[in-house]
Amino acid sequence: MVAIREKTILVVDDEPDIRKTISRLMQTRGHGVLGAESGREALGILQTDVQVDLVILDILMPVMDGIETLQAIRRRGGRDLPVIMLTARTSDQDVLKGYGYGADYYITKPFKNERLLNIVDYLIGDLSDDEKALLEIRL
Amino acid sequence: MAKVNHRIMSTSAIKTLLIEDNAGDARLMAETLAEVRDVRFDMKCVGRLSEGLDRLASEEVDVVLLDLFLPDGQGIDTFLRAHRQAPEVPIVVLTGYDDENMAVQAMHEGAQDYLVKGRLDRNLLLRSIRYAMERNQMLERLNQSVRERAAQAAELERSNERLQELDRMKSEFVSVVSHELRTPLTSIRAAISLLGDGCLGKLNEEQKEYIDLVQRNLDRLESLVLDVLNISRIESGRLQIDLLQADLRHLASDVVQMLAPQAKARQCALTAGVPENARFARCDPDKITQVLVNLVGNAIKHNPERIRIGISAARDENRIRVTVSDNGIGIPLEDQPRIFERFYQVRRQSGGGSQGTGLGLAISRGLVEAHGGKLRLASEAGKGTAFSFDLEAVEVQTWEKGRSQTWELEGLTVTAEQYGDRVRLLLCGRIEETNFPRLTRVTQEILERWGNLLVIDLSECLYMDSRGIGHLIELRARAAEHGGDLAIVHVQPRLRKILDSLGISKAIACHSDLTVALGCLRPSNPPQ
Repeated sequence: MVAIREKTILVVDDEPDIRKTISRLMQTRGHGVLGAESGREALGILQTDVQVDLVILDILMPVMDGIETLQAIRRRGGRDLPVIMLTARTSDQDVLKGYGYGADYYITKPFKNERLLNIVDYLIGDLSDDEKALLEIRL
Repeated sequence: MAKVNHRIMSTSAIKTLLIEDNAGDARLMAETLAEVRDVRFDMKCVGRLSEGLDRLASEEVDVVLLDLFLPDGQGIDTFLRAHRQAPEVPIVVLTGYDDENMAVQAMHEGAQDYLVKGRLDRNLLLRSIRYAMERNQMLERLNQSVRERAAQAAELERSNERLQELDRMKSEFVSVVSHELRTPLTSIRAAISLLGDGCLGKLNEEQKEYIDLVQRNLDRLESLVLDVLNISRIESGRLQIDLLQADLRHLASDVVQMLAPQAKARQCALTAGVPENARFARCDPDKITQVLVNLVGNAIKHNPERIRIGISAARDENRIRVTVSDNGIGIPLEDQPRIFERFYQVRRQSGGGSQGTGLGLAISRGLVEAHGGKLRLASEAGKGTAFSFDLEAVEVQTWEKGRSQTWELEGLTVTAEQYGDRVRLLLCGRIEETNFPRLTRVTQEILERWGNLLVIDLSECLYMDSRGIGHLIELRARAAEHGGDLAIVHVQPRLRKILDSLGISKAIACHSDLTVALGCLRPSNPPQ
């Protein structure tokens, strides 16, 4: 098990149950979690002084979808903020969009907890190159 | 028309319109008709075509007797105008001795009959009028039936369109429902894993057992949703097939590796044998892998333990026949025609193991058919089962290595080797922001001086994030600028998945085999 400094993760999903389970999962790794039920709310949080280290972003949301939110994050200078996209849609077009707009990872629902944790560790864990390379194989 | 018919048969008067400018001829005609005993004629006579047309427009007329030469109408045009005014009324044309030809022409245009003036007698006139009315009536019935047929055809066309629309709605519905199912499944999966991993407190054995049960059934539900999505894609024709040169030996050994745990659990011997001449086929490697996994998985699931299962390939001229065979219990003859149906499962006592979704074979057949092939079955009860399908064989060239050169960049060593008009670029280290500009320049040089068909070999490359993938995509764009192409070999499974999902696997071939990748490239078009 790798040692991880506590980070703050923003979970954006309009489904309260998914926010709740992902939040709980992240807490098992010692991360702090903020929840937002829409892209707009997420952008609001990102504008405050709260330091967010990673965003887990659902794509299909009312009002402002995940792709729009991702574009807004990248446009507003969050160029290096790691973003993991979550979606129930598997079609190529969606995946292309996600990477095209600069998502770091793309996970289709339903996902295995371990996979999400591995990706989070990979993106914001304090890992050596060797540890990263090892983890890479499991992603 | 029934009305007309009634008049012919009964004593009610036949409304006859005579259009004739010669008063003598008109009188003669009237007198002739008056002599007829058993039929009454109610005859009106006009001397000009315009008057005749007015009457046709305003009155009910059963038959027209028409002289073709009138003060305001000459020749065939006279007939055409009258016919146009009342297409449903039969017209008998009256002509002189000299212009029978014109009368015949009028009949071609739709006149019912013609009479030559001066040769008229009572019987001839009566018969002509009767025949004209009856022929016209038959024609009308024929037209009526043609119109009805046309209406039926249009109705069929409409219901066909409605059916297509319904079919489209069904596929869309299935697709939407499957997507919608994923959201609650995600919550359940995540929550049950939290419990199962002991994150929310330690579990006793019995609690673990029941959580395992939920997770197993969740697996089944998820694969069912995935299968339903797959089948709806296949049935609606939205399935996308990316044809590549694929190494069947590689695919088969992947499948053996993937299913080894299940085979071992049921003590089955699972082997793959692909001879050199049946190695390379044109197909979508992912889809064919899915077919093989389905077929082998079925053989493991639906047979007793300790059977032998083999994946084999054999060359037959320009085709390669791929076969999955087992020496299990076989499929009863009566079940064979139905096993490709959706949700059809052969009932049997033995076998046990986990049940499938009943969609695997329907999906496999759809995938094989999308390759232009047919999934065939040969099975005998007690002896075993063999499923087979054909793929198009491809010839793969062998490549002689030519000159090579190495560049040292920051944290990245680039070695280029030439193979004919193709260049292999071995990247050793990691592509990063710092070395990417120099890598771009090196690539530029190679594209200009060595050749524009590049195979990028990542076997020595350290992990790559989404920005590294972005760089690969940029290199591909550069190659395209030079009229070339780019393939990638030795990609990590994850990267391969991403490249596939980005939809660029058509141009970027993800193979572990250099020979295949070299052959995958489009033919070179030198820059203008």
